[in-house]
Amino acid sequence: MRKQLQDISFRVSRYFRPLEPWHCGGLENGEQCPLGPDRKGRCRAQLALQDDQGQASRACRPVANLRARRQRVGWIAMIAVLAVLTLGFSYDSWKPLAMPGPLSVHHMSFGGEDCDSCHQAAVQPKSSWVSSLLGTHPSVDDAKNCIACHQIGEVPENPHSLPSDQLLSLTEAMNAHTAQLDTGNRVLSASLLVNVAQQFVGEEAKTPSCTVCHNEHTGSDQITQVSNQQCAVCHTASFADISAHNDFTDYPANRRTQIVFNHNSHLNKHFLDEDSSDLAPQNCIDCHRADSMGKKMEVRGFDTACSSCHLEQITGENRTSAKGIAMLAFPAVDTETLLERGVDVGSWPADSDAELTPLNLLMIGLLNPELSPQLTQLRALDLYDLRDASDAELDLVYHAMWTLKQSYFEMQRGGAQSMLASLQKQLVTDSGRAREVLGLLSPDLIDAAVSQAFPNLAEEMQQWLIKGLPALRLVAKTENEAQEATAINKVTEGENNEDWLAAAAGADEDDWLEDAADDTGDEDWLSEAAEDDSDDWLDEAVADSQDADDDDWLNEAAQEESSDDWLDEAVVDSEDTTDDDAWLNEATQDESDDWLDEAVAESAEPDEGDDWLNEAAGDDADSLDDDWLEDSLDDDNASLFDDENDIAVEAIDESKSVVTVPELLAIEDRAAAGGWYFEDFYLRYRPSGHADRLIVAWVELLINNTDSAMQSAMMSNVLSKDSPGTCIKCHSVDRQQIAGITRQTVNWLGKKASLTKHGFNSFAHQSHIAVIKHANSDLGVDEVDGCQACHKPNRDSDSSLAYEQEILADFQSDFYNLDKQQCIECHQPETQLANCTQCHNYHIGERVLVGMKIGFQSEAGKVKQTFSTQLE
Amino acid sequence: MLHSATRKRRLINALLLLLSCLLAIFSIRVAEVSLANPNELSGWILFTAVTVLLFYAARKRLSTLPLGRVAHWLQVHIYTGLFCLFVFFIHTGWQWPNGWFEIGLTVSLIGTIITGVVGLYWSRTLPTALTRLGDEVLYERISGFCAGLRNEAEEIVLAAVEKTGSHALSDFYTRFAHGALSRPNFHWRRLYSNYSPLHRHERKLMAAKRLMSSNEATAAERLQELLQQKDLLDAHFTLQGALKHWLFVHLAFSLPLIPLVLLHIILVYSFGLA
Repeated sequence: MRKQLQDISFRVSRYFRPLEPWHCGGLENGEQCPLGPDRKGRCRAQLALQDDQGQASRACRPVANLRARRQRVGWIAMIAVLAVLTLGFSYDSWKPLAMPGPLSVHHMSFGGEDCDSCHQAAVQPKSSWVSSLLGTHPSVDDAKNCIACHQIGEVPENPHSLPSDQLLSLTEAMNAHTAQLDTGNRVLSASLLVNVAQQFVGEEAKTPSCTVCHNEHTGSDQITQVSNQQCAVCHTASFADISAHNDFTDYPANRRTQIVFNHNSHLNKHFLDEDSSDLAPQNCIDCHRADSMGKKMEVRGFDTACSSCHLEQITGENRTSAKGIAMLAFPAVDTETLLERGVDVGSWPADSDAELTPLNLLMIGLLNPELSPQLTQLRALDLYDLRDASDAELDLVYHAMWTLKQSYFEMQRGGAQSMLASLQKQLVTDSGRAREVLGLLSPDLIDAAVSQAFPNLAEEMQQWLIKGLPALRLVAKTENEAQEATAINKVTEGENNEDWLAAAAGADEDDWLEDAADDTGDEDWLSEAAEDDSDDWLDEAVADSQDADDDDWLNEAAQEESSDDWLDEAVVDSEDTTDDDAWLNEATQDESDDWLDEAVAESAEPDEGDDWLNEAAGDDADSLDDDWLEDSLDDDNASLFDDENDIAVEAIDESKSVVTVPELLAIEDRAAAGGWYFEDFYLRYRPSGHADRLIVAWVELLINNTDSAMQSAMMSNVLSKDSPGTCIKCHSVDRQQIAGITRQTVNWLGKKASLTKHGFNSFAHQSHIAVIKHANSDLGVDEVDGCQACHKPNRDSDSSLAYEQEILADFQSDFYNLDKQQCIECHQPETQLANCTQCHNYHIGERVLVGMKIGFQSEAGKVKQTFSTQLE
Repeated sequence: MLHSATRKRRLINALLLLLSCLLAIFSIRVAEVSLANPNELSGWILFTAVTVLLFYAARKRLSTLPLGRVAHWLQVHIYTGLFCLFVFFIHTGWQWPNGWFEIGLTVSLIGTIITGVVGLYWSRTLPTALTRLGDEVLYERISGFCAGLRNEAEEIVLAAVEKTGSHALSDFYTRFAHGALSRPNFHWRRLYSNYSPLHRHERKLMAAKRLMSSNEATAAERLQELLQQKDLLDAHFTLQGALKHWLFVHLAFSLPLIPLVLLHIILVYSFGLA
């Protein structure tokens, strides 16, 4: 039998004390000392055997026991780690040591050591870190740094970034909606987990920290992780899976479309018409396209989707009536009646049959705000027939017409911008908008139009400015009106502080003029004229003028006994109204041509200085027909063109070649490219095309300024469905009650996707279109059917009725609501496409990244990128 | 064949571990769903578990206090350590950390748990292997016994040389046996197999014996017995050494865990639970 390695008998084998920290070093050689070392590791034998000189006679090095060595190793390891941590965190560049992991690509620009961009602890003393265990939860404070860069909705710290009251109202609405639903197939208790979690939802859930859903420093770019259960824990109507999702009752459309478009009438009527069938779109994406994010489907622009059929409606090209909008009018006024009734409104174009336009009313209101309340009454009056007008109405006409004249006078003298200040003041708009509404009105056109309509406007205004308005002396038709007329006259007299007007109130017609001349003394001619009755002064003035060189041509012209019409027109077209000819303007305006007869009778031989007229008359001396001159002066610039035509005709005759002479188009056709033009005493405007700036400016200017009659009238003119421009025919107007005030908004654009604004729903059309394309390519179904797989047309609907309603949500879509079963076919949990966030956004409202300023900073010879999250 | 009581104990402990894991994961999910921070909860669960692990070391030092049997504490220590491993992976999202500090913390915790598991395995398997060796020897005295065997071998070889004048045995001793007998040898392969270098030495000794005289052969047989005893000592040295030294590594990983965990909590709360 083999000998045992160790005899464990206590007599033979010495007891080994493993709990003692040291044992004899001789043990390894089998020479264990019976004394052994003490607890401090000193050899007792060595101490006992020291000789007199203190030298140890026997060498022995005690060895630490395993237990002691084990503890020693543990402590060394811990002290080493503590030393590394102490050194690491005391070093300036401690941040990489504490960095828990790399940032996602979204925040990679902050770099690896820019902890203080997000964590305020990074800039606090390290001694304060310990106190954070007891203080405010740091994630709440650090979330402010997130919000500094990420503007997330109205109240970023709230659930869905919505105000609390809005959340409450949404919850109540959802509860009410859920209560109406058939809950038979709904699993309201989503799961045990959610039910338990709902019991533990604390106050902090009312303002959840960003880190609840967003985890940085994971090294992943996917920093957002939200589970369906997290959504369900707050939502009172939660469900276990998508099959229990609510049916779509107001999706995708929850309001009428911004652009008025009736799919049914277009698809089933207009596009089938022979004239427009070749212009009709072939499929849905001819008019719709996905936005840049591939999510919402937008309507393609007007040029792509609408212009082929609707452009001419806007420009007025295919209209039989006037193609331009009647913006300003030089109205016909019943001056005869007015004069009979003692109301002198000066001269007004006799040939005009124009009516006051809303813009005329606006001009009157802007210049004389006191008349604003009466403009509706003025608009209702027939200015061309005032025989039945009351004295009050005549008074209104009197003031309004002079105000209108003043307005035209200011426009003639100062251009369209003379109205800017009033527009800005009255309609509370910015100067840019005010300029847009008038900025394109040429001063030349104003001048030409005003000169033609009011050839003696300058004199009238001159007198008015010097002396004030002519006196209003209403002549009562009946006894009943006498008292009213007297009162009005008194009021009118009281309005004018000029003494001369008071004195003239009881005098003959022209006495006021005499007094006025006396007061000024400058206008001798006027004094003389006033001394005579009626128009006799004018006769004399004409007679005197025979000697004047400047007027010789007139004598000659009169000798020819021609029609005076050419003269009238020549005078009207004259651009320069010199002082010398001013009397002539007035004379021409006078309906009586007696002065001219007399002037002709007393005329002398034709003067050589007026050869042009002699030649013109000499061509047909026997029967002087001035039609050529009349024609030449008829249209704005026609004479020059006719001359060119003559030349062109002569050239044709000489060369015997055939040249097509361009036809002179009507003035409104010549303005087909858009712009202002003057026709039939109307200043009209033709839109240059879609989104014409002037039309848009007027609409925007007046859309919420309809409180006065003139503005309403203006709106009705500009916004009429039948008016040139026809904006409102397609662009719907939304009305909202805000603090009791109705605010109107014109939907200039269709539904547009916003890169920054987010609603509760999010649908990726582009990826679905791709799926449909892929599926249809196998089935041989075209793309139209692909869209209609989800958007089934409701052929019985009439969406146009919705625009007669005030409530936006009260509408009937051209398409049926979506069927959720189609979604469920693919969006199943096993496809990983059934997450709530697949179709719904958490943060609602504007989501904008702001406040990041990137720069460069030189540091220790190295260029380093610097970032700032401070909002400027 | 395990004892039925041990099997029952292990079954109960495993069920408790499973239940704890399920409870932990459910509570962490509840925290996540209730919009709290699930990592905060899992972190505190982990911290609590680590603290419980430290209680075992404290219990061993407080032997005089009536704190229950150490064996029971060891069971708690073992299963809590396994629980820690599970919660740790939930806490980290089953991902390896990226930051230097986090890596250090992870290495420390994972090292502690792995060495603990290895130690647990060895403490369950190596004693049986030691029993199979047949001899009992204190680990600290192995070196002494080894020195005794070496001295005896040298005396035998010298005596044989003096007696026979042949150097065959002395050559074998010098070339092969001296190295084997000079000190205790730790053979890793003994921990998981029946490895022994004795057979190699015996083959060489048998080959040398054919050239030896009868006296030398007698001395060689005695040398072979000494080699067998040395092989037995090496086996003890290896198995007992593993049993005693795994704790070195375990402690080297686990003690630094204390400052690392505390600093981790401070950093996490200071930097917004990021």
